[in-house]
Order: sequence, then structure tokens, then C-alpha cells
Amino acid sequence: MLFTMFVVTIVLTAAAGIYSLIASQNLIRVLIAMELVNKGAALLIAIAGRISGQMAQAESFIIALIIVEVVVTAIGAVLAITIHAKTGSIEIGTLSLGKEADHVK
Amino acid sequence: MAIDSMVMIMFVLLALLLVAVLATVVVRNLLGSAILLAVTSTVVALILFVLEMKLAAVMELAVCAGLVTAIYASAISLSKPEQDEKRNVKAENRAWILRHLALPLILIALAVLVVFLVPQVPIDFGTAADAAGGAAGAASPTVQTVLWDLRMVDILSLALLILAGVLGVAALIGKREEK
Repeated sequence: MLFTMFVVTIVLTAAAGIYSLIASQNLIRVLIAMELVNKGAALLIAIAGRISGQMAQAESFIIALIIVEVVVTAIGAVLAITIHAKTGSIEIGTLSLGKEADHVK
Repeated sequence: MAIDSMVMIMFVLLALLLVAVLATVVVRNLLGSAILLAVTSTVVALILFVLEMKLAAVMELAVCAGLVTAIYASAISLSKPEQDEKRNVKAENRAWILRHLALPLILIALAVLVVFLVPQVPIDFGTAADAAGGAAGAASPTVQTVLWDLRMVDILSLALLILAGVLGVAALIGKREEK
């Protein structure tokens, strides 16, 4: 029963993240959605390590995942700030404008 | 008795995690969403702690619930998306609700699917897990051994990745300040 609850939680966490990734237009919200998918992956690795008895391996994988997550978040956040400074918006719909927008103006 | 209480704690934590994840996705305010993500990270850290992955739990709590939330708060305050959201709040709120109407249905369908498809696998807590770990314990390495001996190349790669991240952030900020 606990295992089923674990799998349900992992699947729903990842699904909510993927849904938000698809439905969101805001760059920061996309980053938050990626974090949610990462949380699901971390929990999956944790429970796999617990069941297989390879706790140390699983723990080291989770630590690596957390480090990668932070680097991606930092780069993404700075990109969002830079794009906002350049275009005045962090909505994904406005990103494709760029040079065409200058031509239109 | 102790094992039962651990299972109960785990059930409560998993339910809390689901609520926090849903709230993170559904809440419209960006800063609120970032704070709820920190709550999600805290619950994940607690789950890792109960699963006896203490180093990963501390990393999750310090980095994901602390540092990443600070990064999001800075990014949100620097990009000032609130100014964009003030334009036509009512219409955007309505669109937001309509867009997220399908989410509960998708999640319930997935939950039902998982309950019927996933087989039952026992997860041991407390003494049973210690005994199982003890049997293989003599051969199984510690986290420190795995990190510094078995996965040395991975550690070097992670160090390079952090360096690349720092250089990337510095380059992007430097480019922005030049303009």
C-alpha cells in the first residue's frame, strides 16, 4: 500500500510538472515546472534505492541531481532577467518576435 | 509499533507533498508559487530523511528550499512580472482557471491508472530495513565511499558543471550591464 502511494505521488508530481511546463507561458513558471519534474525523479531514485538496498548509490545520484537542478535554475533565472531587460516581458509568446518585431516597427 | 508510526508519517508526508505540488502549479502569483515550491522541497527533504538518506535530505533542504527560493525571489523581483499582470486581471484570471480545469481530471485518471497497474512491493522501515542493510552492510559502501571513490569522475563533472554555471551567469550579467 505504501509503495502504491509512493508511485502515485511520484507520477502525479511529475505529471503536474509536465502539465505546467506545457501550459505555462511565463519563463519563471517553466523553471518551477522543471523543478517539480526533478522532485518526482529524485523521489523515484530514492524509493528505487530503498527497495534495491543500494541506498548509498541512490543518495549520491540525488545529490548530483540537486546540483544540476541548481545550476539549471541559476542559468534560467539569469536568462529570464536578461530577456526581460531586452524585451520587457518574460512571456514565451513574445520571445519569437525579436528581429521581426524591429522590422514591424 | 514504531514501524507503523513510520508508515503513518510517510503517508502524511506524501499527502502533504501532493497538496504542495498542486498548489505550486495552480497558484497564479509567481512569488507564491516559488514559496510553495520551497514547501514542496521541504516535504521532499523530510521524506528523504525518513528514508534514511540524510545527506541528500540536508542538501535538498539547504539548496532547493533555501538557495533556489532566493534565486526565484531575486528573478521575480528583478523581472517585475506584476506590472504585466496588472493589465486585465479579470480576463487573465478567467483564462487561468479555464486552462487549469483539466488538471484535476488528468491527475485523478493517472492516479487510478497507477493504483491498478503497479504491483505491491513491500517497503521496510526501522529494524527490518536495518537487518536487511546489515546483511549486505558489510559489502555495501557508504555515501562518502560512493561519492569520493566510486564516482570520482561524476564529482569532477559536477564541479565543472558548477564552474560552467557560474561562468554562464557571470557572462549573462556582464553582457546585460554593458548594455
